[in-house]
Amino acid sequence: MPSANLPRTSFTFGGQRFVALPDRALYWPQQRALIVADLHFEKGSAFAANGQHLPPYDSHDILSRLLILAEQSQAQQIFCLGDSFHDRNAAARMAPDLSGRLSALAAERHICWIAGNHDGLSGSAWGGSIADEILLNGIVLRHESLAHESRPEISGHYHPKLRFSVHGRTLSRPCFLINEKRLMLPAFGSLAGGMDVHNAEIMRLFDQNDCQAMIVADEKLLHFPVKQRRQP
Amino acid sequence: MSAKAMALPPPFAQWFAQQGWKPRSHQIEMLSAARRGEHALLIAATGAGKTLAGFLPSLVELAEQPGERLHTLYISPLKALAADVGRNLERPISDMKLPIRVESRSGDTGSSQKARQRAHPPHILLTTPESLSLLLSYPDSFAIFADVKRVILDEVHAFATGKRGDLLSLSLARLQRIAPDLRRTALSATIADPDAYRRWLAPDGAANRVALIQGEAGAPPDIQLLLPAGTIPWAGHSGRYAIAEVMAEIERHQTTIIFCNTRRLAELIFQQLWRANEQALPIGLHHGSLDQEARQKAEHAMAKGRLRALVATSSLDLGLDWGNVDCVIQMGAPKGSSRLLQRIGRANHRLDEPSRALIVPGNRFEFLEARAALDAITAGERDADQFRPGALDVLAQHVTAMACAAPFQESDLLAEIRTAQPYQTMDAEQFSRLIQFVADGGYALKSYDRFRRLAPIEPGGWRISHPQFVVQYRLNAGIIVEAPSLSVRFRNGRKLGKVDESFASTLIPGDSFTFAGLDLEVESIRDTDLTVRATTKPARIPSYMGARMALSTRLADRVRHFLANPDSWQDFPEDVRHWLTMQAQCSALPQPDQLLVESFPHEGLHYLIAYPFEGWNAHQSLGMLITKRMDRDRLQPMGFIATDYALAIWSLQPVADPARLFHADIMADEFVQWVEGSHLLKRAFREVAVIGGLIERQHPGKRKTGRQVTFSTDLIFDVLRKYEPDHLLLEAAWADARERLTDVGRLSDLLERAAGSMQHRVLNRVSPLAVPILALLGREQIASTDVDDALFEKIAEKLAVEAMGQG
Repeated sequence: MPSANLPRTSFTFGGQRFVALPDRALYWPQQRALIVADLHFEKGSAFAANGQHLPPYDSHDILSRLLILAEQSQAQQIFCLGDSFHDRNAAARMAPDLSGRLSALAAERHICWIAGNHDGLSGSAWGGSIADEILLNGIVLRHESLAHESRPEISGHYHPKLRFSVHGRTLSRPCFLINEKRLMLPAFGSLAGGMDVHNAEIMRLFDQNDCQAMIVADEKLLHFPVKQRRQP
Repeated sequence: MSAKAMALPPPFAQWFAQQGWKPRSHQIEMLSAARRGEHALLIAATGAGKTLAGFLPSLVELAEQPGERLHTLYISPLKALAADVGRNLERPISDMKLPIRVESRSGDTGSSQKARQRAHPPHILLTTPESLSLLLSYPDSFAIFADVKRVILDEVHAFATGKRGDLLSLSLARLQRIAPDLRRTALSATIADPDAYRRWLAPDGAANRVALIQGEAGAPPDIQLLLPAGTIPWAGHSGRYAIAEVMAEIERHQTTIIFCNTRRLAELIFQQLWRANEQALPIGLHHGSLDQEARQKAEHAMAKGRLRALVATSSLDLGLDWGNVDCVIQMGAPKGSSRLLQRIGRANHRLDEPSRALIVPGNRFEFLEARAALDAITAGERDADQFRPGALDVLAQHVTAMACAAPFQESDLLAEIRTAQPYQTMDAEQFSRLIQFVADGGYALKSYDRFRRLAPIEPGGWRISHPQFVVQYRLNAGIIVEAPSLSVRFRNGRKLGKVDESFASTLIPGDSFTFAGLDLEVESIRDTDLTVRATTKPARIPSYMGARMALSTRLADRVRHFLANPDSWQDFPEDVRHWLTMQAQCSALPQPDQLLVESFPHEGLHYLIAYPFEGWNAHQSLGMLITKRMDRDRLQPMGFIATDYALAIWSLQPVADPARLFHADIMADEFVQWVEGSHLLKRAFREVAVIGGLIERQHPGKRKTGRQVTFSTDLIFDVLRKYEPDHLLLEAAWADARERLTDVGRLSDLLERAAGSMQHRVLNRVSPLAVPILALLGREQIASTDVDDALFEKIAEKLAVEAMGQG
């Protein structure tokens, strides 16, 4: 993805240009960095261990999608904003060939595993670097948004999705949430669900009335104003 | 007669005499069939002592040979019905001092009583298909049911052809294996094809082993059409134009039940009735989205005779018998003669007196349909039920239950389930796939060996691998999967009921809507709770998803026959005759073996109207498919609308050759593509994933809400379709989507005869027959949020003037 020629889905945040990618990911041209959140590797097997045999293809799907994005964007580094693994024992369950490919990717593109509430610092098993949070060009990258943060912040954790009605049918799509100070990423995981952007848990972080949900569709970035639904 | 009466043992004959009753012939025949050891299907009218006939052999056997074991299982589609039957059984038992203990068991039964029932079963146990299936999952089921002699299935038409019927059929197969001498009895008032039910009921589908016993016919019902001033509106489904007349009927009768075809219409009619209710008579509301407590309250008030009228939906098609109901009013089209009879049967439970009923057709097509239903009932014609192969998700749940009960040999269990008629053709390979699905998800990628729910026992056997999966099964068992919904509550926590999530998602605080007969304002929306307060703001009435009743094939045939035979119109109201006469002049009347297609320009667009009369579901599917094809052919379709009678499509380009569009190859080309991409398959997948046990509906201590279940099954669906499109659950979802959601059978029939029978009329303006359909469209376009009936009528009148050439 040549940085001189930014696609139509680019936008400015924290004084930097970013590109919203169609597959629930973010690209930062200036840093040549791919940013994804909430991969939840091995969610399928975590449920399977509990007697709910979800399709065992989620990790494969996540990794394939990540490899495609890395290749297309030619990113030099990948920031995974926490909950990259569904739980701290994911390493033990991941198929050896997938584990190998993931380690190779971590080495080749330099993955930075930011700690999440599900996985902690367990990402270190695959190489790359680990961190609780990162400050890059004045922008904080972390898993869970902090209410009192005053610097521009990019985070994940909440799996925001936008629900809307078309012809009486409800559709829901993973989305980015943005205002002046905060950028929240949708979950990248293939089996990671979502939380309505209107949910109070999310809205308490976006209390200024300038919050927008962003969805990439047909190579365009669509903006939806998000109104507070809670009564004062 | 005397020989027959002899069949009744003396204490019973005496008891009948004390009641002032003579045993009816079908009651005696039931007794004889039971003595011969035969299975039996009893078809008898409401009020004919059908339930007593079902139990009589059990009472007699238990009176003659008292025992300590479970003798008879009674299965009802409704918990409330089982409780009611229990109360009715008390009388003969206590009058004759029979040594018989009767108990009921359902999801509401307390756990200590449930445990006691397993240790000391009653002689007669009243239960539901789901509770029976759960009972069979206990290791002690083999002891509990070892001596069971009879099983009675009440209102068998209510579940035999659906998934609950599949589950019940499998449970019967297991019961029969535990107790080989078990005799099966099924009861119903309305059945079109008794042989199909005998096959379903019999072990191994051997219909000849089931005695068919028919009750005496009751007095023919007295059904009239209620047409104020003899006129019928052009469009609409509610029948609200007749509200004053309906109110007058309520005033005239002791107790009236008013049936509406949808929950939305029930709310509307309830609201309208109260506006017309000058005497403030007690009128109640009953539909499936109301809180259970509210429904029970209404039922209780009916039982006590405290209501003068109850506005209801199919939620009351089955249920308790209220002796005081003397009038039933059907608002809108009846959709099928069997359903209409079922509803009419709710009035007057005396066999020798006619039940009285009124139909208020919503529009002119519905008038034809209502007349067709009257003729069908007079001719004794019923709508045939569609039996279909048993569902795989239900089988997966049953196999899990069987594994919870005891380790099993795969080949033995296959032989057992094949005695259940819906699963008669299941082969070993398919069954093996199903077992694999239950064991570890059945994926081609074998990575869940460590997480198996079933562990193999060599050779050829399986057992549950951990007790946690038994707990998991019992918490998640069941066949009913509710659509995602939000609870409607007052701030004090009082629950009114629930509304579909798709409706709730259109609401923001301050919006108002009508529910449970109240105008409510939204205070807040949080997770799955919609908090409301009463309001005087104008409110709209929500729509509910739910399965839509389609016009039955047989009524459709009769409506086609009316259209083709002007001689049959003689006693039709003047406006209906005029409408049809003008149609014959301006366009054509569809003949029974023809598919009439009209095309005409209207308000700058090109309209194509087809009249297949195959019901809303098939037309809706057809609309999706035809517009796809029109898109491909660059005809620029802009939209379509389906009714039970017709399909209207509008486009920017005219359609020169509709035969090209209605071609059977559409089923091969567009159909798969459409269903794959539509929400239908996802909705079906969600249901099979829950029933099949892939995902849990609840965890110990916390219940997953419908909303949480939805998105996760959509994600699972996407991943599965991408990596394993042939997976068993996708196959099960496809079967559901095909049969239930798209009415694919009727759709194929339609397309097969379309090309050869199409009669295409090119007109220069809207035809009279098209007016009711286009009026519907005008309403949907203009008043998307609120249904303004005055506006609706204006649109219809305007169209009518154009069509009938009076402008």
